[in-house]
Amino acid sequence: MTRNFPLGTAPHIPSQYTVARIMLQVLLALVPGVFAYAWYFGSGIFIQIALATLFALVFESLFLRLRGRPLKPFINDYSAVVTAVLFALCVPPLAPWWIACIGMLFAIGFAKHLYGGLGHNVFNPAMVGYVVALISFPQAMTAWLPPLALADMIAGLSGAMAMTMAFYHRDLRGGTGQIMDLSLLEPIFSVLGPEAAAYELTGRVRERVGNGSNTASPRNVYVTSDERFVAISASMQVMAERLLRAIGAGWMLDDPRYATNAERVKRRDEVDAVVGGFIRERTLEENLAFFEKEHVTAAPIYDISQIVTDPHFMEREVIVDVEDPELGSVAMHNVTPRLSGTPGTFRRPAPARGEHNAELLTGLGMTGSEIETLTERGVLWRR
Amino acid sequence: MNDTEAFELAREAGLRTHHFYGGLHLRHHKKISCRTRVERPPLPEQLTVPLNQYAGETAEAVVRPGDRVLKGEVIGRCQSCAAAHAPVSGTVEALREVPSATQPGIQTPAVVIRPDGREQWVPREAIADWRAASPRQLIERIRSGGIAGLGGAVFPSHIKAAAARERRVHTLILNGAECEPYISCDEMLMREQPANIVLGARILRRAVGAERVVIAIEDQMGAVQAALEEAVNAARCESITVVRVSTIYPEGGERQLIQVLTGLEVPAGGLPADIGLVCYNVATAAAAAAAVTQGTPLIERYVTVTGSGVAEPRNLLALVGTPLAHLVEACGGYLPGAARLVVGGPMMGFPVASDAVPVTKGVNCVLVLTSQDISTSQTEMPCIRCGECARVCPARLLPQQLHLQVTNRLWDQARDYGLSACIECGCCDFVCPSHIPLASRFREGKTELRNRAGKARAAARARQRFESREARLAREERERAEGLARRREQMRDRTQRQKDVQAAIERAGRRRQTDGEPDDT
Repeated sequence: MTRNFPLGTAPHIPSQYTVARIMLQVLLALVPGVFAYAWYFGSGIFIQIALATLFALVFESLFLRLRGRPLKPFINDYSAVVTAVLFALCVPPLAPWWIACIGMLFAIGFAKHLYGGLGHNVFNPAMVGYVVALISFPQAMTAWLPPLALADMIAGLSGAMAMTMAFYHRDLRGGTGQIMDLSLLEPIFSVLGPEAAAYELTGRVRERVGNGSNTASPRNVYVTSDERFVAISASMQVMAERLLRAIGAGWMLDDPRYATNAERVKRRDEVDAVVGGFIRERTLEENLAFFEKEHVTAAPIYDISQIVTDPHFMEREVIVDVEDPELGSVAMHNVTPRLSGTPGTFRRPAPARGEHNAELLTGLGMTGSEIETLTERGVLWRR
Repeated sequence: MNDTEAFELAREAGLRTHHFYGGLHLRHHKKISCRTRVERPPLPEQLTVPLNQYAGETAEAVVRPGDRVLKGEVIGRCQSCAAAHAPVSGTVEALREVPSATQPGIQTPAVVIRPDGREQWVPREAIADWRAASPRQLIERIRSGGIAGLGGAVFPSHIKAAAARERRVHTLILNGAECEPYISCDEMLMREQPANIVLGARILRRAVGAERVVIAIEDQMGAVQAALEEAVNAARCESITVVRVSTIYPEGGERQLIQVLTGLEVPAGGLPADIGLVCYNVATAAAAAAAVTQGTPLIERYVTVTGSGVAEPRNLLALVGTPLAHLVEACGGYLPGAARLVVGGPMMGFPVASDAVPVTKGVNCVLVLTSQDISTSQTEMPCIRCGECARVCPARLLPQQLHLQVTNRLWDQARDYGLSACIECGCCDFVCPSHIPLASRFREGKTELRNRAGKARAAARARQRFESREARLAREERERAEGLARRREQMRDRTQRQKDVQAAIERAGRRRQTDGEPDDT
């Protein structure tokens, strides 16, 4: 009595390795990146991931069907989701929905399926989608939020100003205390300058120009031969003339196309090419020495480690060390601006938690025992 | 390092253990077949002894249907492969083609024998004192006993021994590192017959002319080490060392085991003998001992019958020619859900279509798997170039590249990327997330490379023949022309001579006329 068996291929042992598992591992590895993104640029990333995933799966299904391939094994392998998340991580958090749609169309349709589908892509599909979106919609793709509390800082400055005004009104003009209406919106809007007026008068929207300017040229950040950066803003005609002559481009001043600031702004790219070309051939140090000699205002772009050792910063005492009971000493911005008679000082570091409880509560009319009871019950912080 | 240095370094085999690249930690599944003592199953009604037992020459049948054979009688004779012997006494019923258990898709001629149940042996000639016999005699006895590599390759042992002797090997390695999951026949043999293995080791050492013997076993084999060491001590043989190596698949592969024991790699395309080593399976050693000291040819072997599709997994001492079905029956039969029958282990074994296939010398394991073991949902996907295969390949190849080359038939590239060095261990298959049957594609690719190399050699030979024929024809033509020229020359000479003679006669005639009639006086 013999028995027949179907054949199969080795290994004759179950294996837990699958494409889906590898893709899930990639997704898992992307989780810290997603959270870092959310931390720096906002939670819009989650919307972008959802959008990109949706479009990725739609296009994956569509192209699989067009190619006559089975849907199930290829939809379930998560490869489209990996593409979607990689793409979403490259897109600004507030990018419109159609960015994800077009990006995924090119990523899945073009870079993946036209090359033969899973595993046959020559280029990373997500990056192809990103490049297509970046080239086609440079504005939408570069609308990044600055990774620092810009609005908060400016609002803080406005708040300090408002307090000074209020004290002045109360103390010197016999006024009363006031309620301050301070939002994050208006202070940061105020630094935009005459945008609203310009728009109302001309009907034109000023577009992003990177580190350049719509009102002055030459003005930009230029890369040096040692991969550092020099910032130059020759917004006055005399400065522009001095700069162009210094770098041997005096002919531009005789050429009507570059003679005036208005004309130069129109041909900003050409002017930047000339100035940038000069700077690119020299190191940062050589550039700075040169412009110093020629009396042209130019500054290096610093990171904080360069700032703390720069002679200019040190000479002006921009950063001071303040004593701190916990840290010993802590580096802080110096008082600015400094008045000649009352320049201001650091009288003490920031108070510790609860340090002034007793003082403040007594001022509000509470007795020592009441404060003691609240502290006992854990309502007030015990130092 | 040059060859001589490697040759000398390899003398330290087994003193320290090393690592080989890649490999896998797999679940063993060995205990289930090691619970009962190994026994012979009842005699089957019919035995079918294949005459081709390895990828080489086929033995020539020396019996005809109707012949009566005795147990141990030669039924297939062969110059460059192992001889086949009758596993039982009985009658030859037929000569026919059967599918090979260890070479998928190959049919081999086989001798079908009906046992008479008398188990009557052919007269056996034992060598009374193997220590007094010459190595040549020992090798001859290994040849006539039909001994072949029982690890699975079934390479004729006498050929290996003669080659090793010629290359002056210094160390004999006995491979007891049975690394594939489920297979436990070598472990059971080492447990039950340690003395025979040690005896075989000493005989083989004398045959190949080695100084030392290293018996390699796995660290998960428990009592085996003690059993072997006791046998070594009993034989008072100090040159035999038992070494435990860590269980990483495929450390039982010849090249991997050598790397573990010596830290050296056998050169690609080379043999262990290049660095002074020769490897035999432990079961081969025991079979050689039986052939030399008892005159018993290789007609039976330990076979593991196991897997979740078998009622009572165990090891059996099976006669060559026994149908697999008979072995499974002796183990309680199939369990419901048995879905695949594999000869060999789950990594390198071959699935067979029918359990009528007979046991050969290379069948170490009959594995019956249920549908749970082999998840059928694992459909083949495209390669996603993850590179896992390269991380586990013990031959340090790039399976991903090779796969591309083999599927696109870029044979020269595949050869340059070392396809021939693939040991078909299946590690790449196991980790491939796309479930591409890499090893079986590589096996086909290797065959193609061999065929092409053969064709290239044949073409080179044909060209040489053609060129020498052309040269011969040209030479003959030249010689003919030269002969002709010579003859013409001679002819001209002769004509000239005749003319000269003629001229002389004429001159003489003229003289005679002017001088008057000659004086006759």
